[in-house]
Amino acid sequence: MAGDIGGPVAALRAELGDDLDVLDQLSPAESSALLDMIQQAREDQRRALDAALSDVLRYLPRLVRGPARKILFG
Amino acid sequence: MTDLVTRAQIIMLAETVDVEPERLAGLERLDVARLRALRERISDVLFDEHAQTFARVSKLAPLVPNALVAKLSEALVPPLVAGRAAGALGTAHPGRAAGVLALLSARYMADCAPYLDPRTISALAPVIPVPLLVGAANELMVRRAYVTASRFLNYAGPELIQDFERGIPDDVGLLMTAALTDTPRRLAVIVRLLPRQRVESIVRSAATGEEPLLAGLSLLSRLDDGPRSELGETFFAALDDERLGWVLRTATRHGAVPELLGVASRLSEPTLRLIGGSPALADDGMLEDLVEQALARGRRAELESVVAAMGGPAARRAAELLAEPAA
Repeated sequence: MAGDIGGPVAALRAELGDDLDVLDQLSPAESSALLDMIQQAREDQRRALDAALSDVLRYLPRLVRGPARKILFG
Repeated sequence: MTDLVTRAQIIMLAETVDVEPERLAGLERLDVARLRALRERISDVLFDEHAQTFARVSKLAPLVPNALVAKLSEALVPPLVAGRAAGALGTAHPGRAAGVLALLSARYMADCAPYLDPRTISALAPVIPVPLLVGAANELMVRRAYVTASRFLNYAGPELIQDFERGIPDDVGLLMTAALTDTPRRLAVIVRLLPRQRVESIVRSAATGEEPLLAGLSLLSRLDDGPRSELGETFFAALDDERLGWVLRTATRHGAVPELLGVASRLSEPTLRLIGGSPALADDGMLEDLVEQALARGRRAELESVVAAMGGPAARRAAELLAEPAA
């Protein structure tokens, strides 16, 4: 959208790709809200994934735990 | 009324970004294909974000036996994570997917189902024994989680669709799920794959409640002319006078006149005369509402052809309403 350089419409486009027609139909407010939701979801999912991996590691048999930690976290 | 298919896309998008669907209500104005494209792209971006982590988790497979994977998953891994991981892990280790899933409860699988990467459903389904998938699908039916079930129906191959039909006894559940199919072409494929008798039974189940009726009319109105006509006849032939009146009133009250007309415009004259004779059409304001809705939604031509075939006082009154100049 013209005049949106650096704004939410351009940011959403940068996030999702330039080839998505539907982005032309979103208002700046909708683009901004959607961008926030995507970023929040990304953060929540990363946190949930990390927490689940830590929990699983803790309950793995002792013999497996070390190699598993190495595979997961280097 | 926001149509069911649009609403389903909004719910799936809300699940993808983990918010309440109400926060996305403004997007209901977008057409289904664009909503789907938006949802799939966001889903892809979010899944790809964790691809490296899932790849590392996948390398744990040789260290951990199936029973332990299943036990730890169900005890420690929330559905949001397990669902997201399942596609990546199942694709990397198809030989073990069935073994692990066999040890999980249908309840947990149904909890995880909304979070599966849709891209992996068609690849994974063939390696998973049918009873496991059908068990989870029946759990979704019990929960009335039709939007989640529709993701599977939308991405399933022909054999899995037939397996679902054989394994899911719930006619209303299959109707509600199939009605959320997002393109007429896909819907036609699904209807063609199911045995005719079962399709008729599913269509007749639309008369059992308001939601099934709205789903049934939506589904029928999106079928090609031939099946729409045949299955429309099947549906209306099973209605007694009282139920027919209820169908007309419910469709009008819930803004489903375009769908009703879509079906009615392919019915035979005897069936349309039967509908035209329904005392419900003489209810106060009913015919006026119906005509107003049809005109507001650009369905004049369909209404005129239906009215012409109906005959009787209701048709005459409808014709008068249609002849009135627009306010």
